[in-house]
Amino acid sequence: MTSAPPVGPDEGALRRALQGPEFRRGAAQGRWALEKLTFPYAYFRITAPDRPAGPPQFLLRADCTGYPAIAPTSALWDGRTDSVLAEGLRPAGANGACLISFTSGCGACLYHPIDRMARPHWPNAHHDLAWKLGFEITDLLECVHGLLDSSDYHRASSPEAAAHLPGSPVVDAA
Amino acid sequence: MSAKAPPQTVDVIFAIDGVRKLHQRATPEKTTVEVFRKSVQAELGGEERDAVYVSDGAKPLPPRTTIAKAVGKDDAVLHVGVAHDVHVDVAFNGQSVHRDASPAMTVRSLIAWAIGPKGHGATGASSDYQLKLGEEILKPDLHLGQLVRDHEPLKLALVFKVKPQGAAS
Repeated sequence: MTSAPPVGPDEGALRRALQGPEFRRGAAQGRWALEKLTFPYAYFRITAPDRPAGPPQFLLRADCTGYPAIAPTSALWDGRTDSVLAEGLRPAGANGACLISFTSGCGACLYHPIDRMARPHWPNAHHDLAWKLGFEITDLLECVHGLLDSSDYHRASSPEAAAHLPGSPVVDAA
Repeated sequence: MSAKAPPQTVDVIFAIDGVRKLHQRATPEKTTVEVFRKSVQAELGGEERDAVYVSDGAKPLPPRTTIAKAVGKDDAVLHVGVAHDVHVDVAFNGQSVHRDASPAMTVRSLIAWAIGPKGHGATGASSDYQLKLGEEILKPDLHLGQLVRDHEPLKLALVFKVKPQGAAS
């Protein structure tokens, strides 16, 4: 009888956080939900505020390698194609331009100090927004939810189906 | 003779005075708030926490309320602490407003009050503002009671949310 491979400390820590009260509170309040976990990738549905032209949720894929010591890197995701959400479908402001934190300023990642790929873009600023000791996955989810729950966000062309992965929710057994 | 069905339990998420992290505990749904409070007190020790609130509740829950009713269908977060008013000062643009609040009041609700007509009468939506305690940006779901130690007044600053702009190329 074969046994499952041992779970690394990063995956173990993430799984514990997903069972923890901070994550469960946000899920119970309808702010986010786990769509799929295939470590190191965790997919979350983030609830968006009502807008006349916008989906109820966005899908966020986070690469949690080294969690929590190393900041995740994440991006809005298109569940239909399992790839980065096209910039034309991302949250936009009143002028139609993609909100800066969701642009591709540094590739397929959040353009925000909390993202490990983008952090070096602000070496001497925004220390309070950056991932730090004690942060958990809910800090990332609160950040993204807060970016959407803003008067800056006016519309998005992303269809509702883009926030779902085929066959989800799925959590690969540890 | 049929076996008794096990009691239904509720996963209770709760905050505690002076502690930032949330706790969770599986509790039989018919447990009263008073029994729950005593069990939390017995486990944690320290100052006698004599009240249980629901998140954003203005007054403690009646002691005989069941846990199932307290958390409701929406899995409300509870707050276990000392029944008292939290004295809060919120500064904005050089002026300060004061209120007394329940320890279970959330930072989110305090922001809504602070920008409203009884606060600073600021323009814009609550989502455009945040509260700081010293240099720390407070998470919106925190209860004021989680921030207080030894009943000292809270001095907070209302600020616009910082939105990182593009880095210099």
